Amino acid sequence: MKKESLISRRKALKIMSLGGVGLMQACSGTNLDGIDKTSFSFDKKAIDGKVDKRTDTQSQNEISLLGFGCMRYPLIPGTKKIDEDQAQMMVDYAYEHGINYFDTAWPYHNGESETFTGKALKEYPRHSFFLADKMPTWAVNDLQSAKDIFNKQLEKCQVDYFDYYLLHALSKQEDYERVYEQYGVLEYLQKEKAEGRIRQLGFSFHGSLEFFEYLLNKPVEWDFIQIQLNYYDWDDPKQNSGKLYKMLEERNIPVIVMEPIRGGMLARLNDGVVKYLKSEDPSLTPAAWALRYVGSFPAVLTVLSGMSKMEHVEENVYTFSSFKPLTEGERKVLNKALTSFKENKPIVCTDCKYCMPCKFGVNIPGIFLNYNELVGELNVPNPNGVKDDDYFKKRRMFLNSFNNKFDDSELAHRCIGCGKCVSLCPQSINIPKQMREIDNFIAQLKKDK
Amino acid sequence: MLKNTRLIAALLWFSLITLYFLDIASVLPDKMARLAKMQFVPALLAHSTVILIILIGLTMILGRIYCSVICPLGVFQDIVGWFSSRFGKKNRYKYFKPLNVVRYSFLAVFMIGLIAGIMIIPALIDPYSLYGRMITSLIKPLYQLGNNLMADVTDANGSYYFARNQVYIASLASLIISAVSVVTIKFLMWKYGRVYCNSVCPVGTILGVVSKFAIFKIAINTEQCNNCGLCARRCKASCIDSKNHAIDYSRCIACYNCIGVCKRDAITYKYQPNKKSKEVLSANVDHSKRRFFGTAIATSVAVPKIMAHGAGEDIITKVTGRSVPKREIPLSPAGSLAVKRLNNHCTSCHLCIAKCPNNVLRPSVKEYGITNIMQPVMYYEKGFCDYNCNLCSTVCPNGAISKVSIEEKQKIKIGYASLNIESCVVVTDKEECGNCSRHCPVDAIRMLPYEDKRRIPKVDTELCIGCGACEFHCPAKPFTAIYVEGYEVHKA
Repeated sequence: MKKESLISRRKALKIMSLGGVGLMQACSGTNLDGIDKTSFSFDKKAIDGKVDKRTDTQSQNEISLLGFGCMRYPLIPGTKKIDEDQAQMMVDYAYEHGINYFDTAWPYHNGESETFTGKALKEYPRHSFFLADKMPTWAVNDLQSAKDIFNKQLEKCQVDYFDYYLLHALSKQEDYERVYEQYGVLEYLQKEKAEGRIRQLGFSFHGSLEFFEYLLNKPVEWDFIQIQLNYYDWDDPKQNSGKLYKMLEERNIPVIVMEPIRGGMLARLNDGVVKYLKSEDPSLTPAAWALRYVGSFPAVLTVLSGMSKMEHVEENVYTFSSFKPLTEGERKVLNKALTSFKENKPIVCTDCKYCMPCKFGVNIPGIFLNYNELVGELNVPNPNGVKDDDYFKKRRMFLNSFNNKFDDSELAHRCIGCGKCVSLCPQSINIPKQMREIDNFIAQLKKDK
Repeated sequence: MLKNTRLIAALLWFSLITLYFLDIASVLPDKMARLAKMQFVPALLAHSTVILIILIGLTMILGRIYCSVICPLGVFQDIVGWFSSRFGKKNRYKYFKPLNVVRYSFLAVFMIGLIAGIMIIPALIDPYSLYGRMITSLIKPLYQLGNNLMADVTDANGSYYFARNQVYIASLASLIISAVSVVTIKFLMWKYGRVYCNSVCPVGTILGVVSKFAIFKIAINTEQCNNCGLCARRCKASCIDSKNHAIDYSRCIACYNCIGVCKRDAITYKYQPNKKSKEVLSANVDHSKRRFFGTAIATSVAVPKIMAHGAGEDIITKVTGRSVPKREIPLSPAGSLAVKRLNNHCTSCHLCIAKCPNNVLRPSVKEYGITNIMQPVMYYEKGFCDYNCNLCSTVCPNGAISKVSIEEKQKIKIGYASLNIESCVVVTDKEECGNCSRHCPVDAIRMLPYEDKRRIPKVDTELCIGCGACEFHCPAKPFTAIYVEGYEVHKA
């Protein structure tokens, strides 16, 4: 009797431990990141090549077609601190594979990006890489504050000069006129350029077509201009990326591209679109499609990608080694994918976090990204449709993902609509309106028990 | 056979009612609240004559099977007893004389508590409420932690099957009172068997009187009996006086353990309508047991007094970053109809608190006065009373929160929102807000013009039902600018 019960206990333990292992596998095997989940494989041995280079027509600099964006370094899990060991490995890998353009800025990683990027590049000869930094337009109160920021930036990056320097995120004419003309900050930066502390001067842009024209018509010689360019925004009536690009191409101004995969949105897409792209070319990830699209434009000098994982760096290096521009047929495929993706109406947030911190505690980018993830996996329930098992499954996933990922104090219902974030959003998202829609949607879902 | 039937029925009933208390995801049907409504004291307070007749009738026929099957605290004690017999001596109980003075005193105190509305007394000795609190205060947090562990797993694989819960102690007083009562009852069971059921429990005492007249009873066949006394040592109710072949039917809880243990098959459960228990005066009255027992009960009654210094509020402030408003009149849930009515019917089983999907209900500390400690009271720091929910009113077994339909609930005004303009962010931060107005389910808050095109809320107390959506959504910290004040008697 006693012996029997012992065996059964042992058996029970065995079953339990097997179950545990199974659960752990379930946890580690499936990764939430859109890129990894879709099990594309590329030949890792093929990555021994180096990223292609293009020549800057203004400075004759040989720049890698893939630039390292320093806004999305990997973080130590559960914190907002850069995981420096991991990030250093990524920077080293990038450098070894020919990436020589690094783009940092004052607000990235709450100011830690400049410090880390400077430290990470310290071991390489200064002439072997190009470092870009930016004047935070919104943080300038007078000429002196701009000078202080610039000197501080040199100090943080541990360099004597910046190869590329930008007026950061120009979006409104009045701000531009106040800061750069009235305060004289542009004149000051041009003086720095004459003295060699800035080698190339340009700006990054998030505004209207009219404002862009206004800037180009200024009697200022812009060495380069950084715009948001990707296949989603090409025809977008808010971003007008296509028109901006064409204006620059006409004027022979080198184009630096930001948001080529729209903060990861074009890497995730949605399950249906991903399947379609995979069926067209199994060797390409959605991110590779997006990057190849951008790289195919001849006036593009470099494409900045904010990479937060080693795999991202490896994959992007692969995409830009012996770069192949999109063929006409591939363009059609991408167009078809875009049309079907836009049908699901994702929120166009790129997770740049310029809106943060919200005074009332709302985790704006977090909520938008979570919403997009649900949209992308076609997990948005329709409360006006049939209330079947599928509806309740989606409803549970929708409600629980918001409940589990966020504290109550960060959720959409905490948005009071003060509107401070609206002018900060480079994508011109009407954040309070979107928050209200999500809040109302959650409230509607909660009604069904 | 009889014993196995009893065991299966008891374990089934016990697991179902326990799971119902723990079911935070509302997977189980709401009809299962009937398991709670079948309990004796709740039925008494809810004036459920039918249930009382059924329970008493059942006892008239079969004896106190209520105590060994239906009462969750009884089954819980049996489980404790089973463990103690596995780790200690198997047959270790002994017969003692009924502690009649103690049990009738407790019954009297219980009745006085009920009639005088000093509900802390019935709350502390009613077995069902004791069990309910024990689950809600002690087991539910652990269950929630387990749930959160599962949520970690399902979050990682992207299925989000489990909803994460915030585990917190809403009331330290309830926690400590529950812990003390559980430890006391466990100790008594471990050492002496069902002494709580036969000396304290008012239900046990009432059903004990009835069971004396039960039609089916245990009987000892004196011809077969060899006076080994095994049955008495096995009897957790201590009701078999084997020397005199007498059974105290008022304490027999119809567990049938003695039948199986008798090696000579001398004990049977049979039809014997006229047999009364033969009370044999026994010389050995265990005074130390009585003394210990008195002290234990006195302690558990004294604890709430010590704990009346609202520790729960600090915890809520820590969890939510928001301070708890001081209300003139506490908020009682919609079905209670009046604060006093809730106070006079509730024995603090905490089923409503366990079930509230929005974490609105919490055990009271001083809100209703010390004599009504631990009764449910509403707070809006962690959630607000959902316009489309009437769950607390459907589960309450005592009729303290009487059943109201969703439509009725939506019309009951339990309080009204009161605005403190000086703390409103429209004034303090010069922000455009209106979060209260936007979330009001009855449009009781209008936004009126204020300075610089900004608008400021104004509450129409005639429309306000006191659900707290405004208070919950108010961004002002630490005290919200808008908060709900209760009504002594709800308005409809």
